[in-house]
Amino acid sequence: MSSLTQYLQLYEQNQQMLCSHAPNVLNEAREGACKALRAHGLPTLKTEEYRYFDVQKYLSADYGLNLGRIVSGKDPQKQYRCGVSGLRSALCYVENDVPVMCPKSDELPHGAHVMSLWQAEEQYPSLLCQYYNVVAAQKYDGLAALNTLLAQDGLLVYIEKGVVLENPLQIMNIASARANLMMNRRLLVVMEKDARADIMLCDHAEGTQQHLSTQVSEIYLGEGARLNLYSIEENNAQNTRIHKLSVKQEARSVFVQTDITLSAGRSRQTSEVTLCGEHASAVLNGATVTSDNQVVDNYILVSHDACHCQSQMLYKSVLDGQSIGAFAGKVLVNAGAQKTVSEQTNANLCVSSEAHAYSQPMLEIYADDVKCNHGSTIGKLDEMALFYMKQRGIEEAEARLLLQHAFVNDVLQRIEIEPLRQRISHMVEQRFRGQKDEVCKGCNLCQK
Amino acid sequence: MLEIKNLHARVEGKEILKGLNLTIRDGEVHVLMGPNGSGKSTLSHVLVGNPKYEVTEGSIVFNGKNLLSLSAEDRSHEGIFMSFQAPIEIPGVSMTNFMRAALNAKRKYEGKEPLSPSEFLKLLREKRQIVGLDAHFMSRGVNEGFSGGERKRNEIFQMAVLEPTFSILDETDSGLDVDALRIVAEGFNRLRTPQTSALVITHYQRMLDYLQPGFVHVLMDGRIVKDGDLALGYAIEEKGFDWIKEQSEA
Repeated sequence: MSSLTQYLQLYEQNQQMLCSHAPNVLNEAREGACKALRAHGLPTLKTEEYRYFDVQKYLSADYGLNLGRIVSGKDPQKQYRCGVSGLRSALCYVENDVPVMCPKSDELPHGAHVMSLWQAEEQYPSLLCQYYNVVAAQKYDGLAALNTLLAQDGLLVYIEKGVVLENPLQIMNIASARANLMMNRRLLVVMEKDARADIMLCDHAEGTQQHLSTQVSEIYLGEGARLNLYSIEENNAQNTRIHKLSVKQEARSVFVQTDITLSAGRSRQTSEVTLCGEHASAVLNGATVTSDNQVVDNYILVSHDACHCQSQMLYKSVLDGQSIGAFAGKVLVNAGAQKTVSEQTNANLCVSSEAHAYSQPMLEIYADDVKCNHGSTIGKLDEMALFYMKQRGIEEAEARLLLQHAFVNDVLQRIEIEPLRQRISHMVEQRFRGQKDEVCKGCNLCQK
Repeated sequence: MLEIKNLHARVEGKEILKGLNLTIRDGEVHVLMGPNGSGKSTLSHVLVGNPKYEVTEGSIVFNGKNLLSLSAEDRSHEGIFMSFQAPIEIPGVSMTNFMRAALNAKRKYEGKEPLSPSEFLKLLREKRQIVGLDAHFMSRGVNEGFSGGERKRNEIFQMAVLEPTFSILDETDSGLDVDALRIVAEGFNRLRTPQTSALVITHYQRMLDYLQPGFVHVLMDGRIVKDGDLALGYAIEEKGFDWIKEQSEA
C-alpha cells in the first residue's frame, strides 16, 4: 500500500472523530485537500522540488494520530527549559500538535492576540475564514495538503494595526509522545498595517519514539508590517519534520526569516514568499548543521510580483558524517516587477568525505530592469587555515570547530536580538563539540 | 637548541632539500639567504611540520627532542613559531578567539590553567602595543581585510603573545614599506632574549641592519653552501649570488 493510500484510509476511517475534535474552518478545508491529494498525490523522488527528500520512504512508517486530543496535563514551563537567558519572551507551548499554553493577555500588548485555532473560531471567525489555508493552498503541495487533511488545531497570532510586540513570542513545538506519532501543526500569523513582531519557532523532540511532524505556517504581512521569524530545530534522529511556510507580503512590509537547523533526523523546509506590494522586502537566512545520517532539505521560492521589492537569501550548511544537505533557492521575477533587487548565496562545507551537499540556485526573470545575482559553493575545510591554526598550537579538533563555527557565523551575526544571537551561537558551538548545553541540564528535551 | 643534520625533504614528489646541516644555539639569530627556489621556505615549513612537506632523510633535534616525531601543534607548544610569508586569512574566527584558543592550548600543554578573561585581555593589550596594532583588529576575523603590513605586524603580535623560544621569520619583511619594516623589526628585537633564537629568511639589507644577526648562511639547491657573518649578508646585497655559486661549483 502506498503512503498516500494509507493516509487517505486513515482519514476516511476516522473522519468523524477527527472532525468532531477540530474547529469547523479546519474541517471545511479537508474535502478540498482530499480531492487534491487524490488527483496529484504525494511527491516522489521524481518530483523536481523533492529530488533529495524521499517523502514516500519517510512517510511509510506506521504513525498514530492523537485524534482525541489527549494531553499530558503537565505544566510545560516546569518541565522544559527553553527560555533564552536575558530575553523576556511570551511563551507558547504546543504539546505534540495540541496547543497547551498561550501567553496570558497581560503578557501581550493591547491589540496583540495569540490563541489556539479553536479559540480563534469563537473570537475571530471571519478572520480565520479569510486567511486559513489560503496562501498555503495557492499552489499545490502534497505535504501541505496532507497537513490540511489531518490538522485538528493550531495557533493564531493576530497583531492589529500599528501594534508593536515589544518582547518576542516564543512558540515551543514539543514532540513528547510515548508512541510513534504523526503531528499536524498549523500556524497562522496575521499582521495588520505597520504591526511589528519577533517570533521564535522552536522545534524539539523528546524520547526515543519515531515522530513525524508536518507543519503549515501561513503568514500575512499588511502594509509596512515587519516580522522577524526565527525557526530553530533541535530534533533527534528518529524525527521527520516537514514544514511548509507561505508568506504573503503587502507594500513596504519586511519579512526576515532565520532558520537554524542544529539537529534533525530528516527535515524538509519549504519557504514560499510572495512580494505582492511595492517596496516589500524579504530576507531569508539559514544555517544548518548535520551529521550521521541526517537529511536536511531546504526549498525556497521568492516570487517578486511588484516593483521595487528586494529579496536576500543566505544559506549555509556544515555537513559531517554521511549526512545529506540539499538547497534549492528560486527567485522568480514576474513581468512588471521592475527595479527588483535580489541576492542569493548558498555555501556548503563538507567536513567528511561521505557527506553530500546538493545546491541549486535558480533565477527566473520576466522583467527587464532588475538586479539579481546568485552564487553557490560546495567545499571542504581549508587545509592551509587548519595548518596555520595548528602552527599556533591549536589542536586539530579545536581548529576544525573554530573553522566550522566561523563558516556559519555570518548567518548567526544577522540575528538581531542580542541574547538570542549569543544563545544560538553557543548552541551551535556545543553542537560542533557534540556536547549538551549547560543551560539544559536537568531537562531531557533534545537529549541525543 | 636546534640541530639539523643531513636533511632531505620533498614536496609534491620533488626533492627540494638535499642534505642540509644547520646548528642554532640559544640566543642566536641566523639569517638564511639564497636565490628563489633554493629551499628556504621548504626548510621553514619542514621545521613547523607542514604535512605537505615530506622528510625523506636526516634528523632535526630541538632541545633534545626528535622534532620530526612531533605534531605541528606540539612543535608549537615546545616553543617553535613561524611568521608566515603569506599569513592565512580565516574569516569568521575573531583574532581574540584565535589567540585565546592558541594560548590556552599552550598553557594546557604546560599544565597551566587558562588565563582569566581579564588577564587575557590585559595580555592582548600589552602585546598589541609592541607592534602598534589597534584594538579593533582583535574583533576582526584573523587577517580578514588586513593590509599586507597589518598581516606581518599581526604575525609578530602573535609571536609576542605565544612567547616562543625559537622563531622562524619567513620573509616577514617582503612587501613592507620602510615604516612597517621598522615596526616589525623593532617589535621582533624587543622580544629577543638570551634564551630565544631565530631563523630569519630575508632578501634585504635593511632587515640585516635592524637585526644585526651573528650568522648568515647561503642556501643553494637544497644545501647550505656558505656560512659567514653580517659581512656575508652585505656582500650578497652588493654582488648577488652568482659569485657564491661559482665558488661552490669550483
